[in-house]
Amino acid sequence: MQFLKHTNQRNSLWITLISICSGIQIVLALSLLVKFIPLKVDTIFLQQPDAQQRLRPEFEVLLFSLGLVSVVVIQSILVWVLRRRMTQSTLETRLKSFLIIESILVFVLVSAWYKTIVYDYRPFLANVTLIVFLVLSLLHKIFYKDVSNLFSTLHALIARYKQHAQAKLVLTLVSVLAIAGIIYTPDIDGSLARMFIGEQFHHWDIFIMSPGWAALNGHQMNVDQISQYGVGLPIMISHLAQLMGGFTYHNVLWIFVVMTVMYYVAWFLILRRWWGGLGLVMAAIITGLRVQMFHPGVYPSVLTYPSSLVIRYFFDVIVFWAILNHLTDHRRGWLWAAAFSSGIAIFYMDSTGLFLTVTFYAYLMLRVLIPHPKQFFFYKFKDIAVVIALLSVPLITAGLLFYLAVGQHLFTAVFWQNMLETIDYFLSGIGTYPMYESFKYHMFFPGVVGFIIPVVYVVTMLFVSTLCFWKKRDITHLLIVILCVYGLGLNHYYIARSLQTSYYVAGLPFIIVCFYWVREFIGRFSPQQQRAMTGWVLALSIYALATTHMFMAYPNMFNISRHPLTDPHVALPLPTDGAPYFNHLFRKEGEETKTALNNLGQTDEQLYRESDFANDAALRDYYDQEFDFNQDAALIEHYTAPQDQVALISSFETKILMQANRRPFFYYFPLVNSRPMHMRSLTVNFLHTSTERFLEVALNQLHHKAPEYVFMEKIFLTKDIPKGYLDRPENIVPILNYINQHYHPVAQGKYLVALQRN
Amino acid sequence: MDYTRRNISWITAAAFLLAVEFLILIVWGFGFIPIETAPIAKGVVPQLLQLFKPEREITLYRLAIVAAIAIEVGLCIVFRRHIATKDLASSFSLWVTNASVWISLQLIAAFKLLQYQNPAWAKGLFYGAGICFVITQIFWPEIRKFMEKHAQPSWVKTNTQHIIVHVGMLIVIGVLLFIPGLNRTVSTQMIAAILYFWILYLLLVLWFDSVMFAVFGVVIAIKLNLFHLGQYPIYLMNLSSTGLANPWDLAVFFLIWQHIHRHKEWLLTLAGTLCAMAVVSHFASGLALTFAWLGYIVVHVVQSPSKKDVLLQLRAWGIVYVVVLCVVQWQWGVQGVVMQQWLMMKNGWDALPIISCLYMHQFFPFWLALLIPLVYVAIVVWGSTLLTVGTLTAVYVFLIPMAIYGLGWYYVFLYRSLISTYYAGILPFIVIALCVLKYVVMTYISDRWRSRLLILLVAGSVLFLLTNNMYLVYRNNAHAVFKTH
Repeated sequence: MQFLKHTNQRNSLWITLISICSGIQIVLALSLLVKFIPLKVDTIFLQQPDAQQRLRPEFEVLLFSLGLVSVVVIQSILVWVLRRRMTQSTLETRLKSFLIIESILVFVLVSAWYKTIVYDYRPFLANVTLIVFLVLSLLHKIFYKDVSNLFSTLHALIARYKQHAQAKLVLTLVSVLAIAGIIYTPDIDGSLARMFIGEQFHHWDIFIMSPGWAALNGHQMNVDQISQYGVGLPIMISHLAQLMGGFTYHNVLWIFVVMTVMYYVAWFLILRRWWGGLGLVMAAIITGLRVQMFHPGVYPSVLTYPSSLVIRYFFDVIVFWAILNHLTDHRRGWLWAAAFSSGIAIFYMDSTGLFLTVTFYAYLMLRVLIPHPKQFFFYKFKDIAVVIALLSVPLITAGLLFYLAVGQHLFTAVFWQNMLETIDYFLSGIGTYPMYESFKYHMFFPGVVGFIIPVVYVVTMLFVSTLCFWKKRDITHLLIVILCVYGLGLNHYYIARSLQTSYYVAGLPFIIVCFYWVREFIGRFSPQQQRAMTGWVLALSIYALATTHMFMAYPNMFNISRHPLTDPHVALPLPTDGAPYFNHLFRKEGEETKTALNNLGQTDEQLYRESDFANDAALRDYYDQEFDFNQDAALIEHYTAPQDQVALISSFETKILMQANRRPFFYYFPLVNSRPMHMRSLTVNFLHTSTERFLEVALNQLHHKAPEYVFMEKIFLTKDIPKGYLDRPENIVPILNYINQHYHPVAQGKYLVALQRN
Repeated sequence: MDYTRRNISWITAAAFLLAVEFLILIVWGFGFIPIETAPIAKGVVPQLLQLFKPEREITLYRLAIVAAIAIEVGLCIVFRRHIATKDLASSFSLWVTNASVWISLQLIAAFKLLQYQNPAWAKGLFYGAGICFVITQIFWPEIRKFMEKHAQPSWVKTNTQHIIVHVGMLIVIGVLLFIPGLNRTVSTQMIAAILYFWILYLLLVLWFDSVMFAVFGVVIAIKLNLFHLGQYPIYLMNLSSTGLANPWDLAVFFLIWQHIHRHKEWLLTLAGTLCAMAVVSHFASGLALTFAWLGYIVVHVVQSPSKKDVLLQLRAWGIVYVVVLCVVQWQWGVQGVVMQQWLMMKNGWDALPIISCLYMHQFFPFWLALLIPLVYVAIVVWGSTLLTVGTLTAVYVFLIPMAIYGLGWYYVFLYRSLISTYYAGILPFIVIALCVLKYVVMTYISDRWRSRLLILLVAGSVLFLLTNNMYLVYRNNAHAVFKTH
């Protein structure tokens, strides 16, 4: 390139870039200062008829001009000072290292400034970052020699200890602790309190608490009780919680958090073993965390939506660990382990388990097809039997576990009909969105990414497997091929429900595939360059994680606030309109769907918002008080025996039954969608329970089993059901009518009323 | 050279493209089969039934994956004996280039079909590209021979051929913009626009010595200048927010270019006169042009071996400029304009902050709007330093006044940050981008791929213009707005 042929040309370029960086810093500093200067307007303009609309005095032109002048002045000074050394290559080295630090500072400064605009309703953190980094920029210019020396020392230190086994171990441990620190939330009750007031445990009850409680009480999943997320998951998690001291919301959340930590640490160890180096592995895991746990689709926290947590596909880590081991040491035991784990995964959650099993089958097929020097696999005719056995193990394991869980029902049509009920709804189009949905709303970037993900998977899968087939890649690269197969499987969720960033729910395989290519690209450079590039990638991944508001709001040990759930500096408002998150689902509900009084005979609905709580402790106290249904549990205990199934129609029915230590009665459990108990509105049932089948099942149960007592919220006794409520498609009026016809009230608790059969 | 690896790359690319084409075909085919509501949806209350949106995406997704695997396996089997040969990659690369063009066109058409609710032209493009894909498969041996023969097109050799090509291009530009039947005033403005882009085309040919670069540049300039949402309903209603606000710039830069190569001082005198005229035409950009002219004079003075003569000449240029400005001021009262502009700017009359576009989620234009001035500043400042150290090249000399002019226009945008002011002064950036393309990007690319890249860029820019909604409604809007029917 003719512009950069000579050293002095290159030095001129570095000086120019340094001047521009300094100019940007000056402009940003001035932009903070001018906020204190009031903008004045000449009176002649104020007299104009449309002055209010058209007068918008601003400092932008002045700031830009000052920035321009500063760049020219700084450049002139630098060129003058360095005029005799312009042809020296040593100057180039120094200028480059100075420029790197300046670029980083500018990058952070500009992004902080950008965040002050994007989060202009809460710019506090971004403003602080801006000021801190402006000060650092100034300090860098004063102490640049010391900073340079510091970096050289650090660089030498890394080079010295890079091969040191103990240093490697310490760094690995630090990385594991960092992953755990990012995911682990010390304030479990605080998180639960936010879920309670934010969305009334809607997702939690459906996913685990309701089926889990039923499973713990001996109910069979999808026979006695609906379980939308597989048969095994509620059984396994509820019993695990029982071992941990009891099946409570607290213990289950703790288990989920710990399982998430274990999952990410396990992937860290898999990648560490596979790729060797630490920097790129850590970068991949951090980016994976950023994408999978802290994307806008899981607002306000991924913990609110257990189905978006990695526990959904927890067993994949075991299968991939086994396959990696098989690829490296070729012992068949690993294959049996992978096959067995795939079977457990099907039982645990059928959809993700099946994808994992297909992945395992893909691996087996590739090993049969791809020639390998060792010929350890399928080189004798008798190996056909082994392959067939390996193919059968997942299905046999899953079948056995299903049999243990539901017994003879496994062979009934009703069980499979129940198993497929949710999937059938999904496949028939309920809640599905086409992949081009994002384009309709001009959200091109999320829309394009939705298409890019399967393209990356398919191209990687084809390319790397063909390379392995022609022996142009080591056989261990097959791991990325099967990861693509698995990723394509998990991506089914997005294909059916293509909502903005929902592909990130299962985003970790995609990130690993991307980093596989990053690693391949970096591998083409010299070791020194590789180190530098890895450092940059790691720094970028940390930046991406640390600056996302979803991460800043997450109540982990790195949160800068001591009250992350209520502190307005970090707690996120609703992304759509900036309104408070607490009680957001019901705040806008109109009077036309409401009754005159609530369950307690009051008019105050107590729909609190974040600002109503002094701190997180106040929020926890509120949760402890409001989520305690002691009086209602006592009412149920009084009228029913411990072995009875209790027909309960109420918000928070799962928690009430847990406190009363009684089994649920209805197949559809939870029957209704919880809403705050103080509200003057009737509850609604779920979308999928608005069908003829639901009413048929629920009414049949009430009619045929004819429970002696039925419990429901007092508000359901009202004779004047609001007209607005009757217009809602998902109301439960037919069930209430049946109860009012066949039952009469006998006693009251705090929120509930007990009704006896006539 | 590892030919196997390279061949596998091309085979994978081909398999992927074929799978995409297969997907396009089955999506199209399934479009004729209505989707029935699933039995499970029966009994769902009517209000909720509208939430049922049955689709076939999962089936299509699976079929496409299976197809990609099957095609890859098939290709590997067919070409297994040639997998390590040198020629396989070159023949595959030609096929992939050809297929990717038609498949890309089909995808673009599909996107436009979704975006603009099934316009007829998009359907035409979709089917046309599909048919072309099929035809190119049937006649692939002939097409391949043609592509190999013209890997580096050199169709234009003689002067007569050059003239024919240029005249042809001018006619194409005219056809793109001309609308018959408009009233005289509007027609005059339209012809002015055509003339402006004709001159721009010729200048780009002069500056880049390449028809392809010139076509690429002028098509992009037409698109960015005349056909964006800021020009709704039609640019002819607001020529002051296009490059035509100050058409003197082309003449001034032509004179500066000529001066760089011919060193005739009268060229700069004439440029100074035009700059003074430009101040009257459009105050802000005229001022920017004056600064660009002055910037070039500074470079010229510093570079000149006989500084004394140049300084004397500088006095003459200054006198000419001031005299012209005074005459113009006397004639049209420029002073009043200056004062008025200054007062309006000082008080923020009609000003808009640059961050306003962020509130409308215009992230890309926002960052580009911040990047563009940095590029201008870098060019000016680096150029000045290169001038000081004595290594400034002729190409770079031309970029300095161009960047200064761009900075001047940027002030206009900065004051009133609208999409129309954003694109009105985009010309300097286009020229700088073309320079980067020619003198930086192209130096890293082999000759064969260089010509392919240029063809793709030109085709892409033409497609970019022709498929833009503002261009598609251009003629209709013109007739509707000016009520010619």
